[in-house]
Amino acid sequence: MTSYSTNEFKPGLKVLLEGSPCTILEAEFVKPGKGQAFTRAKFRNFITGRVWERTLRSGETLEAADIIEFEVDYLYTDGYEWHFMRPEDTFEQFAAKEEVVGEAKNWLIEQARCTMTLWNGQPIAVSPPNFITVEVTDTDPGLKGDTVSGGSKPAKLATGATIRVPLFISNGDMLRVDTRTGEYVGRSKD
Amino acid sequence: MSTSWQPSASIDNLRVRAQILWDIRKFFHNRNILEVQTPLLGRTTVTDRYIASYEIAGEGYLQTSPEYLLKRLLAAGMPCCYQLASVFRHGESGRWHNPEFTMLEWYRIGFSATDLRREVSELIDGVLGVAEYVTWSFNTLLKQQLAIDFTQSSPQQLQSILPKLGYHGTLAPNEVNDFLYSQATQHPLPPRLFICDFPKESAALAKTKMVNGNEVAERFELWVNQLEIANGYDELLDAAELSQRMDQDNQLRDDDGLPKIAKDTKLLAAMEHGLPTCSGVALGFDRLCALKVNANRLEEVLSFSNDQL
Repeated sequence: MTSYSTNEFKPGLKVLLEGSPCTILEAEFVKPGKGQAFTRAKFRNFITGRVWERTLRSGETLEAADIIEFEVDYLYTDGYEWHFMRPEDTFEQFAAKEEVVGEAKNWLIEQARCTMTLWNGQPIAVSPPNFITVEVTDTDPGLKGDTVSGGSKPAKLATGATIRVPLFISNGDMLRVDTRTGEYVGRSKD
Repeated sequence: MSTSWQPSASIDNLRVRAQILWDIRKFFHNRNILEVQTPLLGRTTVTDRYIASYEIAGEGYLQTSPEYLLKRLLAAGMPCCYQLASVFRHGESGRWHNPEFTMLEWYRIGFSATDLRREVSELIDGVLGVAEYVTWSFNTLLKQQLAIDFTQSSPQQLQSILPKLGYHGTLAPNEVNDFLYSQATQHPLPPRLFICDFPKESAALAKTKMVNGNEVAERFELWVNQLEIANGYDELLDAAELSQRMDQDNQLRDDDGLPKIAKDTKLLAAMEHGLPTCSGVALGFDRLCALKVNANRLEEVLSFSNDQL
């Protein structure tokens, strides 16, 4: 089993912390007063996304986490699992349960290029592309030409998510959406 | 084309560094404190559990501080003196650490730790500008920063607050103190802060004294803008006591599977002969330069950091 000593800690290193796979965000060597040295580090938990702050004795080790990240295309959902395929090379398919897909399920459209994270060969996280282009399926009738009043209304998207959009948007419009914030970016020209 | 041959520091920062070197030598010249040069490669080294020396096979060790050799000079009749030179500590690498760094260490005969703190603040004022200094005991530091009553807390109570402070595991009692110190100094401190009256376990080469029924070390540290910059002692004069502390260090080393370090018998002999009553302090010269130029990392004032060699 590979493990890393605190003096090898650097951003991006993937380790097991208290049983959870994490990535190191930052690590600082501290040694005031000629005493025991410590490494103060921030970790992001791959599963929860939470940031943990921990201090370790200098020289302590953490086991390496078997984490792989790669791109996949979203295929479909059967309502129970979400299915993805690794494009090119392998065409290997992966099924992820709801707790793994999490918030990403609001933004999955067919063929969307996502990032999948595997831990010990099992999917633990999926992140959608930062921007998607998606059709409006249900919103109040658009106020044609009202591109300046600045008001907004809810609109349901083909992916199932509901976001705030400007008043001039109508059913069938294609929108560009930022999946990190869930915000409307603009109408798609395509 | 590769730029990896470039120095770590900007040429502007090296100019500032040169100026500070000059100012410090003037400071000591004006006070009749002599510059001395002791060997950087010594026959023996410190026994400290948490300081790792570079060993040169068949020769000895790169010095982690000039303390032992300067004390042999003092015992031989050398007047007040300073050394401004490289020291080496294995494995100390990070944002504010480099395995080789420049230490300014000086000794004042007849000075108490309080007298020496005043002189340290005058030197700092000369380089960084005049400011106010606050002095806290180690206990006050822990009370102010972590709301811990150190002298009233049992070892078990101290151990039980570690997880809340971000340490999940068990630490030896001496390591608990070190951990609490590192956490307490992480939160905003007065910009220029002396910390004194350390727990007796971290006395190193300082005398101890009784304060409210607790034995504390006559040791101080200076923190400037959250950086530990100097460490001083009212120097221990008792050779037998030092010999005992070295044995304790070696016991700790042995417990942790580290090699024991032979006691420096020449230092002990010099102290038996007689070290004058004195106080001494070691100051991180690179960090002082870093403070002067508002650096974000030590390497910004190092001609070539260890990573850039």
